[in-house]
Amino acid sequence: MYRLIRLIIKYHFFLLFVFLEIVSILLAINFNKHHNTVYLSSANSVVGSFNSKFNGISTYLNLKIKNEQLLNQNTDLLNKTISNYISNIKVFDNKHDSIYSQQYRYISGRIIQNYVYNKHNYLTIDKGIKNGVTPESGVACPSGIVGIVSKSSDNFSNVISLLNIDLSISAKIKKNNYFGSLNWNGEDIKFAKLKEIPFHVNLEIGDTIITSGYSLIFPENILIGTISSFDKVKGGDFYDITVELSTNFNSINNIYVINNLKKTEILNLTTNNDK
Amino acid sequence: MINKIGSNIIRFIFLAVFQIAILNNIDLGGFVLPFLYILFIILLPFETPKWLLLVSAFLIGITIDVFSNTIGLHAFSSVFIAFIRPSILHSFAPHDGYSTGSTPLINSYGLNWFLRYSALITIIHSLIFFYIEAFSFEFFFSTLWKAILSSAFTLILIILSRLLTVKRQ
Repeated sequence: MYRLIRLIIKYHFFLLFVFLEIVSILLAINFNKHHNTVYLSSANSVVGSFNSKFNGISTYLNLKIKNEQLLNQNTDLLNKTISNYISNIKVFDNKHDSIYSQQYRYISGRIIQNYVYNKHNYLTIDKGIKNGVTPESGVACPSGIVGIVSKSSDNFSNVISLLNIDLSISAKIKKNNYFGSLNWNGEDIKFAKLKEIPFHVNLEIGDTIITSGYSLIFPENILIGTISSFDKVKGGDFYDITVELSTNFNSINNIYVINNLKKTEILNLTTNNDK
Repeated sequence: MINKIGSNIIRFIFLAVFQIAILNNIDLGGFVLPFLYILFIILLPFETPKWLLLVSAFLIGITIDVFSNTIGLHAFSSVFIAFIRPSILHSFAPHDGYSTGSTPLINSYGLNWFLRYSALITIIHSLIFFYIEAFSFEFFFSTLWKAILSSAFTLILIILSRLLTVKRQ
């Protein structure tokens, strides 16, 4: 026993080093695997409020551009409201509409922390469970998609950014509806790769890429970006397509969280299929 | 002695806030991320007990981690440079050794000495951080490039911040 203690005292520097490194690695692994641990992350309320204070300042500096973007979007939305169209057949009653029911609900919010430097990037937004944000909701901004909510606390949520090499999103080419999966390759924050588009599809540079609506997360027709280059891979069956993202991840501020209200119903249906 | 502890605690808080509030938000093309906070580890006095070196490196690392969504990564790389710091200092030691009670500053052993010492620590820190973060060698060269650029920026910031404070001392 005495020898053991003497040994520990003699090598305390190295042992403490190993101990602290193991603690760090365990923290890193736990944080990446179990997205339910909220206590040591930016979704934590203390850290969250600190970050939102600093973000308040930078939001102010971008006010002019953001206002312009919001204005554009508002006019876009106003153009789409039903009151702008005169219905030819006055049959539908909006209040008790049994023909259309709302599938996606939008919650507006603000990014309070954004990271683009790593291979696995995350962002934090200022809306949480209290505002109706649940994990696996989609997140988009006026210019395109942003990511998917990974965990929520009462007031804040953590979002897996599209700039995370582990995230892939179901996307399609607008003009001919061929779909594939889109993910970031960890290099340039302006570009992502679209995979699984077969060789016989006609492509052109500048074709629009939108969400496919085949996942339960994003509705159809949300802009992702445009094709900036494509290439036939020798020996493969699929194109290697580079997509220029419409979202500028360096400057996003205002976002929408998209909740799929019918998700549980669809999930119940598909899990029954597996049995 | 108490004076030294106080000034190091103030430096800890200042560098952590500076890193979280300003450097983490600087936009340099999404490629370069300066880690000025390791200046805290670089500037700890020569006689700091080795265990305290590791513990304080862990503390500043985990503080930065919590605020930038990288739990464990900064802590890991900070603890590592704190572990190798004594051997680096030993190998760069002048002929008559370090005088007691001094701190590794520019004006104690010269700019050249300080540059070599802090450059080595910065590069090792960036390499470890970015490779642990990527967690594979799949992006070997882009990660390497990122680490080199980031450590260059960190080093520039370190030297600038030292030159700004040197006159006061």
